[in-house]
Amino acid sequence: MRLVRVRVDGFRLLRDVEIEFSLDKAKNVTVIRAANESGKTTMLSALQWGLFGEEALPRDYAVTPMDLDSGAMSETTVEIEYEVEGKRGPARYRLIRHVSERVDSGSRGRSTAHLYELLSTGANELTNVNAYLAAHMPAELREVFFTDGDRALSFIEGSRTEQQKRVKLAIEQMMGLPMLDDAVDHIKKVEKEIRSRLDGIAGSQQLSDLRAEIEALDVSIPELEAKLTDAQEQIVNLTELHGKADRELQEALKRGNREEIAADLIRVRKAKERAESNRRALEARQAVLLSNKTFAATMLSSKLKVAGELLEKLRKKGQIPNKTIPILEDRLQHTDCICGESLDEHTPDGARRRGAILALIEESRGADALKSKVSDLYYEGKELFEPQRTKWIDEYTEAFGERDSLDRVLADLGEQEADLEARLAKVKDDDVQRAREMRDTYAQRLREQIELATRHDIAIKQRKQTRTDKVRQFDALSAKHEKGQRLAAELTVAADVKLVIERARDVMKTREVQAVSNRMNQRFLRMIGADEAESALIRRAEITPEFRITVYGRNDRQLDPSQDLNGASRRALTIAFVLALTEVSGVEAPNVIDTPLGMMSGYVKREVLRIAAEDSAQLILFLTHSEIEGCEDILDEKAGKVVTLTNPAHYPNILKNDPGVRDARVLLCECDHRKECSVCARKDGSEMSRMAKERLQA
Amino acid sequence: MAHKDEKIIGIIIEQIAKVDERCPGYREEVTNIVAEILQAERQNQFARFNVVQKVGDLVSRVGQYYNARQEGGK
Amino acid sequence: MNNPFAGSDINIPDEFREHFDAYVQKKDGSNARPVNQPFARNIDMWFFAICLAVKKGLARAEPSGKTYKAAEGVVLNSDPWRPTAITLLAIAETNDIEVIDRPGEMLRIANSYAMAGLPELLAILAQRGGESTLDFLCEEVEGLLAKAA
Repeated sequence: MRLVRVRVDGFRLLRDVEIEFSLDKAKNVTVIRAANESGKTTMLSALQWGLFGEEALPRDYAVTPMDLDSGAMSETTVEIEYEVEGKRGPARYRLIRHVSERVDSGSRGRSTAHLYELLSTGANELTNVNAYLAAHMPAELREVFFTDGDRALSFIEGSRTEQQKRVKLAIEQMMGLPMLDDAVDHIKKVEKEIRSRLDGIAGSQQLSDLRAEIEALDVSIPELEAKLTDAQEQIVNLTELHGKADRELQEALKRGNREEIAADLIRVRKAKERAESNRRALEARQAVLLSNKTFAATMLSSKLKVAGELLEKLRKKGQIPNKTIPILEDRLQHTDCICGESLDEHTPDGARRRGAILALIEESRGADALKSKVSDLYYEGKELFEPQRTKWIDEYTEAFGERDSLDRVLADLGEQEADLEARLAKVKDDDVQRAREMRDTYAQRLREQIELATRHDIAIKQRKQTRTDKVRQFDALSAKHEKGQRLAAELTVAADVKLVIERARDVMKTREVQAVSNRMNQRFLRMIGADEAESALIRRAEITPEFRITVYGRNDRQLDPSQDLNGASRRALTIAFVLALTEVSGVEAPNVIDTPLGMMSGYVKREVLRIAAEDSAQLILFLTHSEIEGCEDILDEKAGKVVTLTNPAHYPNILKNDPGVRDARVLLCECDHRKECSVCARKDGSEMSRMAKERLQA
Repeated sequence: MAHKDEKIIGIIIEQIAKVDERCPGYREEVTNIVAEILQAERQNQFARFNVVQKVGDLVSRVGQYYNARQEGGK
Repeated sequence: MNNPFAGSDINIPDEFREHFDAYVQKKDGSNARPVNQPFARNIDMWFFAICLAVKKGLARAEPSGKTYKAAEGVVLNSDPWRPTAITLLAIAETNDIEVIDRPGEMLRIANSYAMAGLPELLAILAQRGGESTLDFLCEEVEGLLAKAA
């Protein structure tokens, strides 16, 4: 299906606005250029309302024009012309949806839709509107083909189970899987009906019992399958929660055990105290250096040397040491002198010598007091005026060095103390305990669900096997009768047909989903490949068999799209998904996207635009001026049609000229991405920000 | 039509190839009614009718075809 | 050798009293840290001043004005080498060995060096900025000794 033209009248800001879409296969892009608050989202809503009616709008969304008085009647019309490829070439249709409403009446009127087939002979009204629309543009596909940049992100953001559901639904709808499910259901009903006929013919209790058992299984097996699906969803959910809880536990463990940290802190504080007291001791030791003997001897050395020399002279003169008295006294005890002469007092010479010695002793005693002092001084002073054993500077260097080392130790201990104090503050007593409990709870529940899922799985397999056996028995029994044979043949056919459709459905689910996954990955990598930083981190994207869109980084590490991808990549991923799904499903419909390129840098933007244009049968984009910036050449090449929507209320802040329109409506002009006219001309950025500043200051 | 039937048909044909050729022409018959069943399902989406009956009729048709050839074989 | 100064007093001008209080470790002060008060007793600071004056070759000065008893000569007993040093200093100063019998004169000579050294010490300390008394003084001493070498 391709959109040809749309006309919107009386739909909020849109009054008599008509847009033609490009049907050129080479230039398949239509651009509707509009700043924010210029009707982009309104136009998107109008298109969806036109095709799908009220269900396509949010609940409280009013379609009436904004400036009508309360109580006034409003007429809202959306006219869509589209074409559908048929066996004999394209067929064109015109859909007109209309509603009359009283403004602020509280209730929304039900719209009416008229559909016309446009033939060369004229317009032919079709009566079964919904039937045709369902065929041309099924409502289930609306969310895939009408993409609002933000809403599309719910394919990869939000709760995992929600994401899964949305992706699954989109894929199933696009593949037409529900229809296959219906077919299988109907065949089962047919089987049931055939068996009951067999029952009547054969008239055997055994046959009828078997039939009852088979039917019971046909009810219980789908029930169990539904329970299994539920359990599997729970498993996905709980796995995620368990993972998170486990990570929190690891974090809590890293932060540490409160007791351990407190013990360490005490230890460090004690060491610090010891070091402090050591420091005082070392300071005292160094202080002593200014009062000790080495210091004095060094500082006074000049004078001490002088005194020392004097004393030395005296010593050389023999006046030090003067220790003669004891020797002389000692001699008097003997009868002879050292020299050999007699000291005998009874001889005149001996007495004379004794007298001389006594006189010497007397004389010595007189001078002795002084000499004794001097002698003591000499011996004691030697320690001072002779060179010191240790130099003061060496003593000082050693003492200072020791203090320095200790200071460093103290600084280190101080840091340790501060660090431990900080860690202690961060750790709450029950962190680890609580986190462990959480994790274990989830682990338990997860185990339970896994057990449950396994039980269901086994039960399903058993019942399927039982059913196969029963069916075989049933067929065998019924084959005994002629009519039974015919009905048995019908049952065989039904079983074959059912199997074919079931298998086809499974293949669609797995193989086709795989194809969508591959395609999505290719597209996505190309889009972000232009951003080297992102593409370095991301290796591939895929859709898992559980219908989850996942992204993988280096080393096959699974990334969380809502946290590990930037805004641009997230949008690119959803666009890649939609394009891949469209292509693989083979459904032909327009891709209508509202601001897809927001948040994207020049290169990624260009890639996304280029790829979307390539893959889409008909691409209709609502773009702001800044989204277009940097992509003008691509649009030159690919855009078959470009129009601009302008909101007059943006004068004078954004628009250059006064559009001269006072009512609340959006203006359309044919300006493309390289032109501007008196209606859509905008002030340049610097002027706009200057005016914004003035407004702020006012 | 929005949905491309070719895709499904292609896969269906793949799967039919795995069905036993219970009698000459069996697979061809199955192919035909599968296509008709899908078409009926399609129509049923916007113009409700007794699709189970239709499916039943189709199954019955081929059932008879099969049964006849089966008997003949005996 | 006995301490010949045991009966004497060491009197210094009143103006130095607050400085002695500042740089000598008080008995009661548990906050006294050797880094800030490097001298254990008044006598140590007095003796340091003598060493400083001698090393720097300052001219001796007589005490002036009101004085107070900063220390008793008897405390010199605790470091027996000190009386010896004072004696040697006096001998070097007078070139007369018999000065050893005149303790009053020897002490006077020592004190006169102290009088020259104390103002110098205070002037040095006034420049210490943020450094501790102990470290600044040690650095000064180191500098003085290095020059001689």
